[in-house]
Amino acid sequence: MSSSLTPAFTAVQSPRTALPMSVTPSESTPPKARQIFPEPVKEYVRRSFAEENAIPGIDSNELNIELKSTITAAAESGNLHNIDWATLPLPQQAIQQRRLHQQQPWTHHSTPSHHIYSNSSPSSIMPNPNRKRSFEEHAIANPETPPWRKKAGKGAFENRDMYNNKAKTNKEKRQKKTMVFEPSSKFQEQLQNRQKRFNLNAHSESSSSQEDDDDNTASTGPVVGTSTEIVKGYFRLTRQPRPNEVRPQPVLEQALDMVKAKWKFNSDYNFVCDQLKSIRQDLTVQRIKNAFTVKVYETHALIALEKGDLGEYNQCQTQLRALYTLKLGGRPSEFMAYRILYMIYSANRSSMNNLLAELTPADKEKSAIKHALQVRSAITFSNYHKLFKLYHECPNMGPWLMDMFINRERLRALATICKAYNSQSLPVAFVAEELGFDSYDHAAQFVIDNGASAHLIQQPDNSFLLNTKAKDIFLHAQKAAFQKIDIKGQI
Amino acid sequence: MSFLLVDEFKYLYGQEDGYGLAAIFTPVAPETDPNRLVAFYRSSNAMHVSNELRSALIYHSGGLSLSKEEASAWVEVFASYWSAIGEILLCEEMIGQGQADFANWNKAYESWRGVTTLLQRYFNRSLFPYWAIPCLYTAGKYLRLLAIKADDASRERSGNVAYSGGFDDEDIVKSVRKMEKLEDAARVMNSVFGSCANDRAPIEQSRKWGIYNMANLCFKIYFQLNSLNLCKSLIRSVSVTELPPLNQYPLSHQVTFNYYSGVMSFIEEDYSKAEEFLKEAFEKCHPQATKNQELILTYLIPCHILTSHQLPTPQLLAPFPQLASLFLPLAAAIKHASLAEFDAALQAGEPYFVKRRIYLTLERARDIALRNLLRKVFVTGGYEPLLEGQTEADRKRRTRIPITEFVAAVRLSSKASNSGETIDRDEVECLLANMMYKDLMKGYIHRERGIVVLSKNQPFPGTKT
Repeated sequence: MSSSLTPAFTAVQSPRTALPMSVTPSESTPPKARQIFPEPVKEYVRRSFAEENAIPGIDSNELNIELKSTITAAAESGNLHNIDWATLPLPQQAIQQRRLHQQQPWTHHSTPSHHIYSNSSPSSIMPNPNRKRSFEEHAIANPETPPWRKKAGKGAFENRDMYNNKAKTNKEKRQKKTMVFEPSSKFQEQLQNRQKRFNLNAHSESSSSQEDDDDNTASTGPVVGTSTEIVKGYFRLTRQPRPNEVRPQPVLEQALDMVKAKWKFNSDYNFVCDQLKSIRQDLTVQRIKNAFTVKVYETHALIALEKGDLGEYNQCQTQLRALYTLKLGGRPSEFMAYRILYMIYSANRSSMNNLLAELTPADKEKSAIKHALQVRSAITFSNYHKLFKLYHECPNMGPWLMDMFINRERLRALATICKAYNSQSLPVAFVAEELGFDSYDHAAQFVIDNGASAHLIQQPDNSFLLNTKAKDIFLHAQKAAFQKIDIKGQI
Repeated sequence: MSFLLVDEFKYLYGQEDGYGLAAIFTPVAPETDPNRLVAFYRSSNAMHVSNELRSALIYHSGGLSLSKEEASAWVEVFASYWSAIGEILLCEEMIGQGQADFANWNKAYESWRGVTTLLQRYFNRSLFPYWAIPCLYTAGKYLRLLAIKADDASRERSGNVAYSGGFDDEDIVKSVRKMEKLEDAARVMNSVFGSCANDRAPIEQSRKWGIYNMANLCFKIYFQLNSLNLCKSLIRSVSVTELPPLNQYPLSHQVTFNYYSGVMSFIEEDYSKAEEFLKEAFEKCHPQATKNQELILTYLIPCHILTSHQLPTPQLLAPFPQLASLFLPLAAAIKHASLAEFDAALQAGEPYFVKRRIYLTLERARDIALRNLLRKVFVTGGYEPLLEGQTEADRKRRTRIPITEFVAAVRLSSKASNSGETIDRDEVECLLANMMYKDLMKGYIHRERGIVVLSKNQPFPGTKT
């Protein structure tokens, strides 16, 4: 949506292509205007504004928005030439239709072809023994995420709705954009003049495959993809990509579904990460910033988290942080909670302070954020009792993050307990309960793993006691644990 | 054609008045002469300014004997100052006309940057005398302010977030809240700092006398950029440079440097070191500089609470109503041993505390409130019954206290803050364990008997029991 605000491309794009002066984007020429519209589109525009087609109750402003969003969506999804403009309902008809069917949700038709993965039997997923939810369980359980029953391939119409919603959120931008479509004859003339001047910007399907050379693609604004490949590996670009190498949003939606299914099917992270990166790249080169973009980054962040790929997770978090400021939807509070938990892990006090400064009172009431803040507070006061209670109540994918620091806190708690219950032998059962272990065995194993096996005393009934003389061992282990904090790609 | 400013320059140069000279090269007209900048700028034009300055400074030197090289250097500085003033006046004019959007602060910044680097270059070559170093102070001071203006303006134009434009961008969002010019200013000032630090001239004539002021300017920028690493390396550079003792520098340099060093130690959680720096800064701070005193106290008070468990008095805070309104309720809560009061006071001050980066430190003072509460339980518990043959003098306080008594106390003290959520016994036991771990309470917990056995000697170190 903000493509109308930011110039479509920065002056420095391809060092070896000098742009002719006339093509240099200026603020007075919104980038979209340079698009060559095929004759049927122009005819469609003419018909929309023709007086005989006017529908009372729909003013020209509304018409403008609708028209604009339809065409933009078509252009961005590469369907400009595929749509039968002659039979497409006029914008005023579409508006009317929508008003009539407002109660009925739009139903989408699915294209079953790409669902080879998603029907894999649920038994192929390992049942998760602990509290942790895997990414896909989470995605389904989370009411904010539409289950991936939602199919892609809807073409221009869904996009149009999407654009429409966005247009509503920003009146000014909308008006700026619709200016381009003013139906005056002067406009038509200008348009045609521009078309002549900017002939090299053509993106017609027929030309894209043959005539495309580096020079003329480099001088275009956002690429409008035409590729229909669902599986596409990631390559770092060294030149402006050709439209036939880039996938439009509907294809990307299919690709995302495919990636999720694949992850669910065999958790092949290398493949999934590579695919997601290429989806992100396609979004970037087409400058698509909408709810779907958010979804892609959220998906990648969660999968990376599950896999423990903190570098990639952080990259996505950084992107999401900025995307959320655009209010494109998604799950900002859930991800804010992740950020808090990550900050606890990285023990970076000044970042934590910055983050606290960012939170609004309303944020603090959101359950996930509230939980994360309680975790923070419990750790500040070494309140291990509360911490492990919170550990078991952690919402969403939070446990994956909490696991990164929970053992560190266990060591600190053990050191504390050993000092406070000085010269007593404590039942391991007590330790296990206080420190949130799933079983007594796990607790005993934890003590052993940290080199304090000599301080475990076996009882006749096969239970264990922990000698509090182990204090120094835990103190030492705790210090070591705090030292090795991974900070790659930190946000 | 005459340049009044150049005449002033010649006079002040003759007096070797560094601060006077610095007051010439400022982008803000002095209150006494509000038209100075406009007059100076209008007295020439881009084509002739260099020649005219040359004529005024060299051919009509007015008895001032500068080396040819130094004179041309000053001409260059004057000329670049002239064009910088032009850019700045243009911006102000745009704002005056209600067209702030067209004010090109980037250009103003760049031109002022030119003045700064030019000054630095000639100081580096030791063409300019050491006593003129205040010119660099002024240049640096306004470099930062102009950078902020430029960044604000570009943020207003394009929003907080920059999006990717090129095909080689990996992701859709390029950067968030970038402060491009301020980052640039940081580099410039860092290099100016370096040229002060590395001056090999004998100390009487060294630019090293400017090092602390330069460091302070750098601190200001780095803090704004939120780049604590740069601050750390700055402190390191100062500490490895051979310098006269800090107390031989002007007081203003000392106070600011101590303040920033103190804040850095504070952020690194070295509270006793921070307290040292901040105390020094507070004591030497100009008595009328209440704003600065307030800033120093903002960090000094939390340090002092944590290191010595002493609370600020109303008398200390009387001149600082804002600090009083934030810190006194906290202090009262600690004194009353009321956890609920403490939580409320901390929450009330949270926006300010977070902004000043002291929230995470202050919240730790809750432990002191808790310690006071536990001690109250101990004191209220009374004395062990006297054994046969013992007199009043042998009376001992009861040191074996059932955990349930502490549980009741903690529940009472924090009930208002935890609406509906009761604190269970195990949690209190955990809190007790922590008090012992942190040596705020001496003794141990006897798990099986459910009692706390307090040390007979000073069970609450540092308090009068």
